[in-house]
Amino acid sequence: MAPYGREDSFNGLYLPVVTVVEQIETAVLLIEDGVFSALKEQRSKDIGYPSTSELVSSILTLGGRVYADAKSCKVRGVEKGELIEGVELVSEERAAQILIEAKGTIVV
Amino acid sequence: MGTLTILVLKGPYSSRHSEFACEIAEEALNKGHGVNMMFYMDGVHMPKKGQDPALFPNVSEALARLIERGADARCCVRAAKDRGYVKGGMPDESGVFPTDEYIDGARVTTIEELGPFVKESDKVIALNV
Amino acid sequence: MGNKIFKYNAVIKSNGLARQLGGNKLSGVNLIAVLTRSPFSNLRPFTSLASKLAGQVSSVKIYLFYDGVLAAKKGASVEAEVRELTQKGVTVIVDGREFRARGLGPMVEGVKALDHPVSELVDDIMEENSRVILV
Repeated sequence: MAPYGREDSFNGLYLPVVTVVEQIETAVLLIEDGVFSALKEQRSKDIGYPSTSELVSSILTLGGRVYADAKSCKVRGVEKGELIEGVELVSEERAAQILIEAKGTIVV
Repeated sequence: MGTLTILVLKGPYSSRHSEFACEIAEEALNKGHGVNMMFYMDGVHMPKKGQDPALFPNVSEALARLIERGADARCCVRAAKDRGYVKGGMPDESGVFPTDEYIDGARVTTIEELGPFVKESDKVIALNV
Repeated sequence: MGNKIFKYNAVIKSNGLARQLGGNKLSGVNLIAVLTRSPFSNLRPFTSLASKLAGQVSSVKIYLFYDGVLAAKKGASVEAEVRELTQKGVTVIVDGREFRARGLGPMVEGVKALDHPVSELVDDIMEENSRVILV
């Protein structure tokens, strides 16, 4: 889900922060409108909301991995350079592999 | 037998995910598995006391039966507070926040409890979309 | 609603790296995909994933619950996709009670209707080598 229209993006990204802190190997896969969560130039405080980009940065800093679906980015005009550093663009095939390797998957 | 953690992110009645969570939990208990249920975002509406649906199955009653059978049911305090179910107050020594809005046995704790749930579970599923 | 069915943006992994099963990370893995929403917003990412993985994992099973059962209606626009999946060896299980509750008429050939599929679903979820995706 795109951030700020609904709570799902922010609260969804909070969950991997929790698991990374617990030292559970964690990967976040951003797909479709979810890719907007990782844009680095967000100014969400201007509208009174905490930032999803800060959560993405935290996940990366704490040792989690964050991937963005390349096709979703392209359709939405999101360039790699607009994303937080450390977010990796992946193909559909690689995204499927990430999913299948996970012991547990939480879809938000 | 293993442990299943079910994360519920949507509230009851607008979708049937609450029902589905209860059905899966019940079946898992029937088969001898342990069940953890974590309620987050609108999922924290699920254990609300006093639900009285006119036409639909009552999910809080289904949840109460699961808790009686040993399911561990917890709500995120931030989401619960956002929605007015927790009105201040400090947690007790076991990290449970006080509320009189929820059915017996549904506990309000921090979402950080999900971490140990995930670590200790054999499988984790989420109901949201 | 306009949302894509297969929209995911969080994947939580267990402790440790993905297990190497034989020489191929995916062999020995059973993919369990659960669809609870209508397939008509967009089934394609869901079936695309299942189809892509069908040849790489040990098995793929798709459960259709609640509005997901609409995908099993004979004559629906997604019938060809569902039949193609079954022909590729994907097991498609439909909640029979939910299907009949909706008055959907005949079912697509090749799908399996169960009146209490949650029992098999829980067995599949808890099976060690299964990977579950629920939308």
